[in-house]
Amino acid sequence: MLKNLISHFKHSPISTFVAIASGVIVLATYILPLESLRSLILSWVVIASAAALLVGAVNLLSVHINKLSTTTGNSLYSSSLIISMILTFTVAFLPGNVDQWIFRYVQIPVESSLMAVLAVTLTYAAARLLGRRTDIYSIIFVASLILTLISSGGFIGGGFTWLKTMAGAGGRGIIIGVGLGTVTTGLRVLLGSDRPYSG
Amino acid sequence: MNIGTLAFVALFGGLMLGFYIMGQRQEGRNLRDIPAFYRLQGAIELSVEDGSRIHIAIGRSDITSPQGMAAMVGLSMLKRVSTVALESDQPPIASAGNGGLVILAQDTIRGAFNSLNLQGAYDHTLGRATGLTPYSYAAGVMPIILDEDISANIMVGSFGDEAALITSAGERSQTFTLAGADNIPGQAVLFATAHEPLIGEELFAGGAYIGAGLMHVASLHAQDVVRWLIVVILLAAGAFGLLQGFF
Repeated sequence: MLKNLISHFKHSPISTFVAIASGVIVLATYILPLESLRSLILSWVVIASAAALLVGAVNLLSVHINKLSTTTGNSLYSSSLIISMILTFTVAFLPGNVDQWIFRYVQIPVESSLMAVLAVTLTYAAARLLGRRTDIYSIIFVASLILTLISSGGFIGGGFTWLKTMAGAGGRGIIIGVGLGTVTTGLRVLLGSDRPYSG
Repeated sequence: MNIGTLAFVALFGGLMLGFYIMGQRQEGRNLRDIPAFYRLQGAIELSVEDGSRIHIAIGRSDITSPQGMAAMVGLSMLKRVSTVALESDQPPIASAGNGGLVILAQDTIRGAFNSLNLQGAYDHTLGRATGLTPYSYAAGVMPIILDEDISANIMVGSFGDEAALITSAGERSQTFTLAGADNIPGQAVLFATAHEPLIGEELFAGGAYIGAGLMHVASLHAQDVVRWLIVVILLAAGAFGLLQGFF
């Protein structure tokens, strides 16, 4: 690992140093009385995140302009996105609450429609699950789903409270697993083993 | 952070380094079977052979939040898959719903091109922001899967119930989908809709199974040890509480 770390430092010394040092300093501020330093670093992160958001929007625009120019994929989606993006960006400078109007009467209805599509998709997927993957876990999943739906309808009353307790216990087990994975991934980044930057 | 938390982190770090050193001395990986990753290996090899693309969705978490660690695993997998897939004509496409993740995804793919001395062939549109809200992100990923000759989807990151829209696109285009999320609603949705769902900590095991490095294997072993430690503590606490009731 030390050899890898040295080779990373040789390859891209600045980014590796900045990443590891920032992580170690922020971790240290939780142990030592250095809250102001942590606040300072986190305020830099907020500014960088805002800039990254802008980069994301520009990237989205450039991908779809590129799609239109190379005529691959569905040009209708790309042209709709570009027109909507330019329109929204333009009205943001206009006086009044036109951007709020777009948000309320365009974005929210569109996302609500996607949620409706999602309900159908999930119902279909649950129905197909046993056909696609017939194992004990799928049977338990579908049985739990049916019991939960029945009990939430109020037909049985409190007869299935044990099911909710079991689901809560299982959920906590999964969350513990995810928490452990999160800690190890963070430590790998701190140790320089995982470097999601500069190749 | 109190001393207890620091001791917990130090224990984890010590175990990871210990298993890393032990791993250097022994051959083989001693990992339990997770069939999803073997099928993923097959899907990657198939895509290299038939010249199709692999799509990696790394979700829309903020990298400064705990959910960002799931995206880090996605980036590790992207790095490994890019290196393998660049042997074919079609490099992988990465999608993200967060500006910071897009920059990291592009940097990761560029690194894979650089490592193979293919700097001139790199295209910045291989790392894409498809939308910055959950549903716009999912809606933006769907055309990638349907239109861009994708043969395998890897979804590793933070996803909510919108993930079902992405997996449904995979279903419609009959492509292999391996998916894992770091939260309960996302995992429930992916269990029902993905071909190969990753449950709980399996999400964080990806790097170890696709050969991302010995430290990934060491961190899996460290997780196993700490998990058993937690199980013992929980059981002991339960037994202690029960005994307290008797006396």
